[in-house]
Amino acid sequence: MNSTAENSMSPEQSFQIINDMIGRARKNYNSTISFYLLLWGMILVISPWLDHGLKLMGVEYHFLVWILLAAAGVIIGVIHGIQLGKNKQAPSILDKVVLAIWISCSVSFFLMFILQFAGYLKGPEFFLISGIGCFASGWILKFKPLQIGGLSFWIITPIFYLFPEYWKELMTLGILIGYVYPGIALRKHVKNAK
Amino acid sequence: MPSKFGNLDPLLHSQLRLAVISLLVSVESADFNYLLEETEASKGNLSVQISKLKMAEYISVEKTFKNNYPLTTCKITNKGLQAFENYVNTLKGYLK
Repeated sequence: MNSTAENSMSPEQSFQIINDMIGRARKNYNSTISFYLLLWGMILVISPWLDHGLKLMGVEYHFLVWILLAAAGVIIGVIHGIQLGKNKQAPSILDKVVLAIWISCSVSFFLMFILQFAGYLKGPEFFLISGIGCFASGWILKFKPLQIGGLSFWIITPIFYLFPEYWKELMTLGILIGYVYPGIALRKHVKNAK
Repeated sequence: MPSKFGNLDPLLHSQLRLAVISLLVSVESADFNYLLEETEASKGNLSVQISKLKMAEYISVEKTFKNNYPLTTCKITNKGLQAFENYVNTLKGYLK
């Protein structure tokens, strides 16, 4: 890019430059979110099936797998977040907005996790909060797969109550549509933007 | 040579300066290397254009150190934001 073409640019060229640059700035936060979506997507797809497998094998404290994997997710997430913060070349306002949404969701998840272990919650309520996180982030970033992911969480929540015996299958389906698919799509989107 | 698009702010109607301002509109602040990477400009050219934008008070430039290396951070000012908005609105007029 040069600056010698002063005054010779057409309005269309100017708009093209503005769009290109705004698109390039957006790829930064897309890559951050895709990491967290894939991290938690994997953890939440693996957890119920590992718990189920351990239960079938007769392991007494099979349910601890949830706490161990969630703790691993938090540690990996925090380390990644600190590294990102240190290397961030261009922090954006949208970064902060999306971060605030997911911090709010994470606090809710943590409290719900405790309430569920204490027997006050059944579990599907997690999907309502995930729906808010995904839909709101997708709306702000103008990224359809994330919005669809959020909608799918909301649609699947009542189905949990109708067919509680299929909770593992429904949870896997919800996480794949709500976290894993948008995570992969965002990663692809970032690669294409480079 | 007089411009065909005389109503457009001449400071922003330049490829590199417009690119820098468009990037800065989207972020809170950006360091020099980020701007270099995204605009694919040469170091010298980018420095010159940043200085012009700074002189016009469209951006503020802060020079600090990070891990013993100099770090130049640019941020769009309210004046720069206003100029960018006016530029885009004028552009829209040409496209009608």
